[in-house]
Amino acid sequence: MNAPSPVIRLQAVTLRYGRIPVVDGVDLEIAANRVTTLSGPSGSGKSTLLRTLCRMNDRLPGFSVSGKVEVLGQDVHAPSTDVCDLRRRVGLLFQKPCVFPKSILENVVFGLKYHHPGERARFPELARRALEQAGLWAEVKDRLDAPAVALSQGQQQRLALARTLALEPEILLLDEPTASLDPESSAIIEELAATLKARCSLVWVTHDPAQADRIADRKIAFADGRILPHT
Amino acid sequence: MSRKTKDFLIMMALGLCALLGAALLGFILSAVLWRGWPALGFDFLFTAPGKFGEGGVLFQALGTLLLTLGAGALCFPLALGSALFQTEVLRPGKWNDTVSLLLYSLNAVPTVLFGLIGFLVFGVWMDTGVSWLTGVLVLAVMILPTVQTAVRQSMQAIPESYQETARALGLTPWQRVRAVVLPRSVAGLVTGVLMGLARAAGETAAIMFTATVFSGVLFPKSLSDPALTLQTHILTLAQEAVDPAAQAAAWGAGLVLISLVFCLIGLSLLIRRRNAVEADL
Repeated sequence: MNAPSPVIRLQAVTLRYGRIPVVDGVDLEIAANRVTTLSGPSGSGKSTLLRTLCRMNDRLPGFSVSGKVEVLGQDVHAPSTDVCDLRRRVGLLFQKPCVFPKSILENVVFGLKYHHPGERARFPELARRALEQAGLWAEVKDRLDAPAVALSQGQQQRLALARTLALEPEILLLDEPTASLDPESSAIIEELAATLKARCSLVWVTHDPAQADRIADRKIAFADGRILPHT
Repeated sequence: MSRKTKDFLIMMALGLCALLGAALLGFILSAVLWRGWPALGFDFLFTAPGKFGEGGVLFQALGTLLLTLGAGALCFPLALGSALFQTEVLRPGKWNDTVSLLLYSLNAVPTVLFGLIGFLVFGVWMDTGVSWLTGVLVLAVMILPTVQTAVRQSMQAIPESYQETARALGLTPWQRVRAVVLPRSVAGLVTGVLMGLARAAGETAAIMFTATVFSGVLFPKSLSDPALTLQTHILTLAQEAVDPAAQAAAWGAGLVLISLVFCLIGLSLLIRRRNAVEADL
């Protein structure tokens, strides 16, 4: 049986803030439809690497990249790369849940309004599907017009996940998505990982080795900007 | 001296400073109200001016509104574009700081110099002469730093997490402006414009010799006509009137002008407060 083709391929990638390398000469391939965890101590470069995959570090002063970062068969730093399309195909979930001061429904369709403006009639259906995928539908189906900020932290994080999933990303990047949540909410999001990997590839940054053990198909450990051997 | 006494004295000194500022404003308002009130009446507010210092101030008030609103309409797109350029295009750094410094410096230029330079550039080189159009152009440049700074600060106050989220969802810069920046900074936009309008409405020196006359016209009929304004009306009467009735008319015009300015400031505070409440919901 053939190994799944890689959706992410890094070749001699070095990431710097000014002159200081944060990630140093990393080679890596990440397979499709798997949960891959990146773990390591603070400052080991895992979040910087994660954000580089969807070019979210571009505006940081002094940030530079060398080597080749290939995502979904495309060199993300090639001049021909459409960054906005890349970010639609490669969703990113942040550590702290961020919901807009709008209704729950408005939050879910936030990205859809701009990427699929002609499909407004389908938004309720797409929103429902995304909320179901994020495991939130049952809790909010009767109050979709309620303000999103009234949800608990854990629900807000799943709402943010639904908003990202609504765009049907092929890769989902999660930057310590449970770090600011209570254990119960964390467990719900961890369980979602197992079902979501059928639809997209997950790259999950975590500090917690036990969490990596629970969710990962493949674990990658970072230290001092390098991948530790045998991971 | 004990620490408690020292704290008390410092608190008193600070309170005195605050009281002095408020008292000065109170004194100015009371003086204008006291002296201007007797002149107010239907005829004064709604009729055309008569001989020197006689008649109403309707056309002066309309002239002031024309210059103020014209300047605001011209300035707003410039201020918005420039603020968006600074916040969305320029990265934080020395170029961004330089633009801010230049705008702050522009704010510090004496307004009479705006009048002189504005007349030279617009009135002479662009051949708009002494006209309400020149006045609008001069005032628009003069209030640009006030409006731009207020607009930019309201954009910079948008939580970075909103911007990051919109970026991560693949919105283009313009989509991000529409989806996040403009809706979240609407209070700042309105406040900035109204504060700019209030400043323009109160300005005298910059329009004195570029846009306004004391008499000879009522309302401009073409772009090259000058306008009557409350500011010029007050200045001329205050300098030249010897008749007590004309002096009272100057105070009355002052009261109308200050009411106009306070209406704009009050409106901006109201909109800011309402939007602050809505943003918290």
